[in-house]
Amino acid sequence: MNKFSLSLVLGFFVLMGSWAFAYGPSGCGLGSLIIQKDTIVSQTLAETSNAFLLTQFFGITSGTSNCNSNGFVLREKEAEHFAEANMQNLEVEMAKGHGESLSAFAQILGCDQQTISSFGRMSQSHYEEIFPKAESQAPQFIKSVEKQMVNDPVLRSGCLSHII
Amino acid sequence: METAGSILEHLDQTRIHNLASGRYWKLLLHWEKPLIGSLRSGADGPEFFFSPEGRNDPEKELIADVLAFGNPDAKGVGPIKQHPQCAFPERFRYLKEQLHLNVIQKDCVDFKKWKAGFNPKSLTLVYAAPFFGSPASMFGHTFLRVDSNPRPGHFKKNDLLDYGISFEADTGINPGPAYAVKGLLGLYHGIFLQQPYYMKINNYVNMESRDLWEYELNLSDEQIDRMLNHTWEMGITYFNYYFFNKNCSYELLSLLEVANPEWRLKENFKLMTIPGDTIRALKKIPGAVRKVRLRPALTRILQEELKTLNDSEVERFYLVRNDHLKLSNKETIGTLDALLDWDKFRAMKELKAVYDPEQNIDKKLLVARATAGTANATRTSDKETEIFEIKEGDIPPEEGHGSSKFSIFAGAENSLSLGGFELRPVFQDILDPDEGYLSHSSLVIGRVRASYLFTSVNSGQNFFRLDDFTVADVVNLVALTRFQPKLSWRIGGGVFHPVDIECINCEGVKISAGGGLGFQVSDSNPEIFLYSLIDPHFEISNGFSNLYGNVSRFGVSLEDGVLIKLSSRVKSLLSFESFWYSAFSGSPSTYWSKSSAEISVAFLPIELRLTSEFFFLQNQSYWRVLTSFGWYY
Repeated sequence: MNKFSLSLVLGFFVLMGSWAFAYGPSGCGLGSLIIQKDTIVSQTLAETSNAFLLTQFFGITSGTSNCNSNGFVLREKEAEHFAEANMQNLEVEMAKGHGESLSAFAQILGCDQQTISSFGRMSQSHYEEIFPKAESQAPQFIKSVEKQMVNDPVLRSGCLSHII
Repeated sequence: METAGSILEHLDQTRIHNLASGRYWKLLLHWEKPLIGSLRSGADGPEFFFSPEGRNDPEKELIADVLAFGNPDAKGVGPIKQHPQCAFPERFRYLKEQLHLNVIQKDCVDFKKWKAGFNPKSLTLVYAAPFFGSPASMFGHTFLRVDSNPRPGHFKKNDLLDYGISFEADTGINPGPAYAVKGLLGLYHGIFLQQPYYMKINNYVNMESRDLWEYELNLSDEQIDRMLNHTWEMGITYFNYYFFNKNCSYELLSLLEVANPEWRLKENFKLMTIPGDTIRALKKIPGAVRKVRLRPALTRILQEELKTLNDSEVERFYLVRNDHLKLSNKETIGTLDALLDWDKFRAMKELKAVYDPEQNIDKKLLVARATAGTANATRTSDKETEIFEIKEGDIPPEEGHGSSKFSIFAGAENSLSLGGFELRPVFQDILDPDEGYLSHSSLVIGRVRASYLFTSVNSGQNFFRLDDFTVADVVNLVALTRFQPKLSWRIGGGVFHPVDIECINCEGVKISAGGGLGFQVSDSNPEIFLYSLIDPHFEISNGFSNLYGNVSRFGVSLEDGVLIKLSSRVKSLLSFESFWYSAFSGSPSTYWSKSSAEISVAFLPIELRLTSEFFFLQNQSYWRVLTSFGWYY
């Protein structure tokens, strides 16, 4: 095998690897939300209006993909998909200790209704452990949240009882 | 069990004929009258039909369907290769029930799994208010939400975990400049899509800052069940997407009519389907809407939040917002909450295709808020949802004026009497009542205005004049506030009659685009809004040659105006507009100006408008005074 072929093969794997990395280890990633700025106004006046298409559409009966099946987010990917799509909402609401996205996320993680306010308090008091300095991807973020849930007896019984 | 052929032998031909010509079968086939041609199915994807003539012949299609359903070895259809019974569960259920079909029932695993995902309690039609950030969003948007029952362990459901069903054009990731043309000409395939509601909220409420009006529909479990069956059938086909009539709002109506065949909605929409009008059509049906709720845009939530802060908190908010380094460790919870919500708004507006640290919410603010702790520990999860019930002053969009308008007017111009008409198919101008539309805005497409002028002396000199054929005119006046310092803008073009060159039958074509500032001087009783706009123009007219030695001219206009809203139905506009023109290369420049005062009084669906204008031209000046009666429909 000559050097050219070898570098081509290696290059191909590097490309594959970086693409996979961009999508996160479990391959459910939204990646970056694909957005275009393409409006009459932005073209003529260079104003920062937004026009965009969220490409994470789920077609009905288009089969399954990494993340969804005929329109529904796969149950096992629900937490990751929600976290990726709602990262800004979760960052804010977990700092506040309450919020609609936080409640939905707690539900997805298995918490029952009465435990949601404790989940909120936990996320606020352990904020920097859940959101360390570096920007975390959804899978790491979920792992840190689950770690806190395991350590908290109220959350353990209210959210994780179906697992334990 | 019967063989394929023998199924038909046992069926009553009259019964088949009656079913095929009945409303429900035609609804399932999306039978409709196109703009050109005779009645046929609106579905464009070929796999929607089992008969080669299925598109045009409901009876042949019915028979072909029965044969397909009755054939246990029928070829798989659609993208996931289902047996016909499973690809068309509602057709199958209906025909089996109506014809007492005796066939081997297939186990429809994919369909059953999909339907079980909903656990539906009710169905809601959602309307996203108009948004001037993108051409496709300026008329509003509708989609459906399947409201689920609360999950186990919960007594109240969280909207975010519901799913939305919408009809969208499949434009791909980067449609490019051909987007507008393709959308107008039906060159995109429209398909039914499903998305978690949280994605809709992020899209409309957070990123685009649009209000979401939610109309809970009065449908029974059985009706919702049939609608879901039919929604699954939509997955096998596509519909050519026409931006003006066969759009997002139109195809949703098919689903609603299948749910309740007594609702007649689609027939109201042939040439044009404006999303707000589909809500109006639904509200006209007694009892169709059970409840209306409003989920406000993020900017609205922010503004309400700021109102709850005291003066020093508001000052801290603006100070820290401009410079995060000024954040102290003594900020109140109220200030921190507002700062965070603002930064979230900013970050979501700036989302880009390529990751950019700018788009993140400032960690400093987040940690400061988390550290400030649990002052709100008393908030229970019941108060988590921040949806407002409709308040005094929040007028639902369907109570606003109809999207089309026809007016007749009469008056005098420069000592000539005149009468005329104006037809405006869409949508809104600055003086029309605001409700359901963006305030201080104008969105006009395809307006025609013509006058007939009578000279007082000699009827032989009466003449007809095309005042205006506006292809498009969009004006977005925005108040420059401390909260959001944004510019106003205006863009438009079309055929017009150049007033200043004193040529009776000259017509021209113009395009202009400009911007400026707006100020809200007073919020209420009356509302007063000031604006100032500068617009460069480019115009071509046969009448310019004499004056400029050239058929085209370039100019700039400056308009200053005051918009006064005395009540939700009475508005007044006072403006002064100056125009400077030149045709380049040393030709003479011309100047003219116009001042006008208009008042509009609306008794929907009628509007009375009084206009008085004073034209100050190069060689003459004169008045024009008009009375108009407009009818919104």
